[in-house]
Amino acid sequence: MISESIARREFFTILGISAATAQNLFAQHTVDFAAYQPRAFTPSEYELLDALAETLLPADETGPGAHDAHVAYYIDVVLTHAPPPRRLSWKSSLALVQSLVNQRFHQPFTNCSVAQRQEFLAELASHELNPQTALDRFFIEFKRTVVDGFYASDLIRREHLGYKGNIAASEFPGCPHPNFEHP
Amino acid sequence: MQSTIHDVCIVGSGPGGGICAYVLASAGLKVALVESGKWLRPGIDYGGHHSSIYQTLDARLAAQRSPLLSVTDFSDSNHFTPVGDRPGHGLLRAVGGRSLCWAGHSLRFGPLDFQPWPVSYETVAPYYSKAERLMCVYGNKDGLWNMPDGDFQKGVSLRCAEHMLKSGVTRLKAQGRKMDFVPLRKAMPTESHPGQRAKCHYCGHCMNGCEVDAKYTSANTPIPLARNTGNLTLFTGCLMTRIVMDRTGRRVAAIEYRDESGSLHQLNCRALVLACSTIETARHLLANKTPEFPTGLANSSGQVGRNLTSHFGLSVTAFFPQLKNRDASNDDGTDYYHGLLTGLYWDQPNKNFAGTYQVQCGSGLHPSNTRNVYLPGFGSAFKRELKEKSICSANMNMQGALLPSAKKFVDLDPDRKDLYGLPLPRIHLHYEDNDVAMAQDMVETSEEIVRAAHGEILSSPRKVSAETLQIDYNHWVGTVRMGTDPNTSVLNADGQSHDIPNLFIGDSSVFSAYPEKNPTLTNIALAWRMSERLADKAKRGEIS
Repeated sequence: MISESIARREFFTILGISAATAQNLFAQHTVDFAAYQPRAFTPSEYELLDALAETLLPADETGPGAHDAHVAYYIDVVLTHAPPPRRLSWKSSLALVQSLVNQRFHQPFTNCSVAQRQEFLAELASHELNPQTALDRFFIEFKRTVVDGFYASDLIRREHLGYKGNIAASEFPGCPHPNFEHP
Repeated sequence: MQSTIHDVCIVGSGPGGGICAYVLASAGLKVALVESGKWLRPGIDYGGHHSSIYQTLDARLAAQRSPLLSVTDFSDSNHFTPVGDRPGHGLLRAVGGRSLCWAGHSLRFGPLDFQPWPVSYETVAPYYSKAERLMCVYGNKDGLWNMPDGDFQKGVSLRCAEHMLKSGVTRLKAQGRKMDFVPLRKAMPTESHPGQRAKCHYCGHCMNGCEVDAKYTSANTPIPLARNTGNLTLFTGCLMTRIVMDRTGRRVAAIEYRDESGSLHQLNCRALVLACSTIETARHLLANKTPEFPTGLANSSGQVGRNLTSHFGLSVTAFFPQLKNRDASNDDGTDYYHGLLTGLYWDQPNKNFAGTYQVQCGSGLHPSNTRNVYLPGFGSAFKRELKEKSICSANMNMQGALLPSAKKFVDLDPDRKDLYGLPLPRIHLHYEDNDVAMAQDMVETSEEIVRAAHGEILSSPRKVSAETLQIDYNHWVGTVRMGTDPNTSVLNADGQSHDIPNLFIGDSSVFSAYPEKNPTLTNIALAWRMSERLADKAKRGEIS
């Protein structure tokens, strides 16, 4: 066991000299999202989650959005392993959301225009700082989970946040700004 | 039954036990190191945290693990009974113990901190130096009188928002406030030297378990060195179930343990070192009642399990608009905290509470902290603001010492027992006025620093009370304290039992008092000193 450990240490010591080479070692894994079948949610619920998440965090000039980040997959996995009452609560909240959308726009959320989606989400978000109803509380939980999944995505970290870490570096520069004067 | 008699039996291979094994084996003594866990191999049994969270999410959640890979997956659960204000208890059964998942923060206690102890700073200082060199502690020479400089490798720089906090401290100091802001000191090599561990590669996953063994652990440094002497026998997967006394009832003769199959064995020894953790060491002493020690071994003072304390705190998150246009940089470094607010109330105690605290400060994007606060809104504006706040924020994690009292202690649960019938420990924690008053000051001072740095408060505790305080479940100390008076302490200044001359303690339970600083470096320095004293006594024939 010790010899394996030492061998690995030596290996990484070499890598530490060549950070660019080492970065390849941390190549990101991929899940086959195209073939993924939701387990906690039905296909239509999954599509609704995907559309709601994309409206919350859309693709725009700052980078990819929740759909590209596969946040619906993240939510489905989290809820698959959540206690059944929490899963049921999400499903009933999604049903309520769909019912409210149908009442207002006479079509599923996924068929709504971007403007309609934004209008509906604005209403959902209107009480988030002072939640009164079960739907208000669901929105807060939904939003937290979407943000968690969004920021857990390697795509978002690199392409939206500009995260440059998770590499083997030979030195840590700290604040890179001369005289700590920030632009 | 084994007939071999080891010079010393050490129980527990964490930060204290590992160093005891190294020092005692190096002194030529035949040492048995008994560990209830197994070897965990960095990069094999734990590590891999550079991979995508999405890739492993399903399997980890199915196994009831958090999304982020961590060596703490191997931690015990349901192994103690909490009483009162939500005490926790970190216990990692593995070779190296909780040194596998520590942050590496290595701060010397200062002369003020040692005032209530039976040893002075000057007595312990040489052992701090030895420990720092072995552990490869990095740091800057800051010249702080009550957090003395040590034998450091080159320091690690502050990140952008940590510099902002430092600027706030500088402004408050100019107004006469007593405080300092310095880079943290940690046990990771920042320089390459022959024969030492690999240099840190600044990936920021220290507390998840360093997969290249750059961070100091008992498993990667003192235990392999002890093995190299040929004097160490390591027993893994072996759980001590009883301390066996000799015919007089006043000296340890052996321990009994169960191996992985559950078989019972006896291991004879001339001296016993317990280094099982502050909670577990007290538990074993209390559980071993004999006619000579009816309230537990070495407990004639009644102090075993008493004087319990730990660190507790709260956190404040700040936002610095000045950093809005900076790029995300690479903020990983050596895990979340690079800056330390220190020097508070060393020179003049606060009027409202006894003791003091420090604040560990971190900033920027980080694998384990990319979302700091709940922001209202949705859409592109929300997305931009979320990014801005994540890149430009700093977190201030406060750490103060609980004031010991009769309401904080460890005893045995009369109802719950482990696999082999040993009572589980109960941890009694009740926050008191002093703790809450200190916490109030923590929050006010932290917010004051943020404002002085021209930052904004993103999140702060709305109400400070016993209900909102958070205990550090890895920093317990004090249940088997050292002292000069056998009526009020369990151990003498050498870490040796007042009652049982061949019983020594090598973990943080020996602390006589607790400052704001992290415990591990002092645990290691004291264990090193205790082991040298024990080896000297053994050579003089005072043990057998």
